Amino acid sequence: MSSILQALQINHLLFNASHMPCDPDALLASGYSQLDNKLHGGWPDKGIIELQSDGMGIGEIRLLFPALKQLKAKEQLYAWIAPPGRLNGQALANAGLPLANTLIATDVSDKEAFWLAEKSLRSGCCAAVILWCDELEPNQAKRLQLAAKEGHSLGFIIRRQSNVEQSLPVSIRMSTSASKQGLQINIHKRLGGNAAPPFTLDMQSQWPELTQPPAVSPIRQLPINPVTSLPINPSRSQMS
Amino acid sequence: MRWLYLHFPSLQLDALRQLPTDANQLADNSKPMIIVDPKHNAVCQLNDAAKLLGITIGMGLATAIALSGELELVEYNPQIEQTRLHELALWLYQIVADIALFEPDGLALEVTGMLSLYDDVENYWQAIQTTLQQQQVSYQRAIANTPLAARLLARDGNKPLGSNDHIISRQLNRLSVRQLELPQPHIEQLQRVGIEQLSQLWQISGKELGRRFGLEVLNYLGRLKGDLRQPLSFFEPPVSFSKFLELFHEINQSQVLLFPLKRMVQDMETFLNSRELVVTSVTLTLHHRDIEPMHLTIGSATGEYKADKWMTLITLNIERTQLVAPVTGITLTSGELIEKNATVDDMFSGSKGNMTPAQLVSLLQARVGSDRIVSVQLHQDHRPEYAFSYRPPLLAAKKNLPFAQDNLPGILPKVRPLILLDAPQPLTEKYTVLQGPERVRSAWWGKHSVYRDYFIARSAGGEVCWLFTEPQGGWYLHGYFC
Repeated sequence: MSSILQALQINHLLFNASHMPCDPDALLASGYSQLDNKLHGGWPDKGIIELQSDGMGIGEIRLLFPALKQLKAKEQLYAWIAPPGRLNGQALANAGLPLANTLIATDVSDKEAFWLAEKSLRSGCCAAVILWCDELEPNQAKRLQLAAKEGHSLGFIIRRQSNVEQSLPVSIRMSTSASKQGLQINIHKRLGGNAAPPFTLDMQSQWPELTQPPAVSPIRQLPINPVTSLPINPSRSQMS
Repeated sequence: MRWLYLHFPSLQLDALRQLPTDANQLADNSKPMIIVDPKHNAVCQLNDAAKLLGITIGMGLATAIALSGELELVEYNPQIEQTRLHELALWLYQIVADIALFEPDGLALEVTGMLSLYDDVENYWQAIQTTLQQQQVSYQRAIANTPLAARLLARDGNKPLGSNDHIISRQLNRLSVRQLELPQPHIEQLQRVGIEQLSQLWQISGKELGRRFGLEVLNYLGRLKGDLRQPLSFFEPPVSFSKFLELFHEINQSQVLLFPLKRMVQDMETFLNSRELVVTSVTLTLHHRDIEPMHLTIGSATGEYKADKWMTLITLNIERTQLVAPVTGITLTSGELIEKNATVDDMFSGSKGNMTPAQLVSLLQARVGSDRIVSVQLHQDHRPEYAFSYRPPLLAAKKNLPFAQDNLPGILPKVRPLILLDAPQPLTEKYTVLQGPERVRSAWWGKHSVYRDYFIARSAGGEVCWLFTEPQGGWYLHGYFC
């Protein structure tokens, strides 16, 4: 290290982007220790987290459930905006979320969804806002980010994986894809830290029913018409 | 009680002068200019330059034009005067509590009550004078014990401030009966018996006056002296901001509009600031000569009152706007007004938001309709579609339903998909079963009875889905474990 750098470091004038000073209270444990490690402590307690999801039902919301449950203590609203179907109250109750504080916006257009999300984030009475929104402009993301900061709220934007290269001004930008044991996660960007290499999050202990153990076990195949074309998984057949 | 009366002899003229004609040039004050009342075809307002030419109020139009060829003529418009008077009242309302309107050109301000704030009349006047100077309006002022007396004195001319009762009554005594606001026949009647000055009138007893000149004169003098109450229409500030500005010249370029707009937005800031309000949207109406006015609505998500913030938003909008025709006037109207910092925040949470859940819900519902902002509740039902339903948000859960309570461990089925499809869809893909079957069978005697075997399965793309099959065959997709 050059003497100038050394001098700067001694005088605390040099910041290391990967070790930004961060208030541990301002972090929200994700409930998955593996993910907490990669995020250096957990989710931020306010801001926007963009979650690109490679398909619906791969575990993108299950990833958030433990963190959302923690926010319950604040007795604030959970806003679910533009879910791609009927939001099942039983699943919410199973996840430990209070149904009375649940707010769902159904059948709204993209424009309305964005407006609702911005208002909810800024209101200061929403613990978290979960927005399903595929198309998002950088200026819209910026507005949501500012609204979340102002309202001290946490916003998750669930997007179908489309525009990985588009860099939105959000706190965390990550993409997820399906994995048999849980979720394949790639953190592209993290405010106050550097990106992490892709890793597989193991959700087997949390969701044994929805994951497959890596060990090979006889898997039944569903009879789908026509019955003759039984689905064959090449990797599995090789292993067995 | 003391009253300060402000008489504005050239309200319309001042309003015109205040108008910027160009981006950086105010109307030229050195040019003689008169306002002509078309009803009497006579001069009713004039500026100093016109006065120098020898033109006086009440002079016929032909005489005035004969005196100078450079005279600029503007037709008298009572609407402009009225608007301006209300604006002045609004400005003075910041510093004076009770303002009585004397349309079309005067304001009576209550003095005695305000002295507890301003200590003496001199301070009080300083505050008023500053406002009047900012507004660039010419005035004549007088103080008297009744609004009517102050009005008479002010219309007579500018009077000194620190006046005691003795001086005021002397000033009043000097007034001519012609200046009294009585119908012409009454004044002539008074003059015919040799009464020229007000002092002469006081000498006659009330009984005599009533008998000789009628009840109207008696009443008027009673109100003038303060023996009778003067009915006053007090000024009340409007509940929303709206201001119209007539442009001196037609404006072709949208950029040029920004200059007069700046002033209007500043007025709006004063309006909002004095009420502790913010506005979430403003509407800008650009009036054209022949075609329908153009409306621009500009919104601010949080609500804002500061002029510079609004000016930024308006500038952005104006720059994008192509004018279809020259603009002859601008109206700025405030949209929804909300209170600044409506709720008290938790001191320790550090939260900056300022809404309660109820406020938020009503705001969201106002935008998309109340049926689309909902909450969810559970029901005692095995059928997945009927185990929960949407309901209006923020209602207390019903106590008698066991499933309506949140989190009843052990009673709820273990795993349910977060997203349930509106209607089950026939399977089109190949799936790998992860768990199942789970049989769901409802009472055969009920409506919509179901008999299904549910499976949790994984699609080729890795999506964890909820499938079911029925005894009569067929496979369906019913939900996603998001």
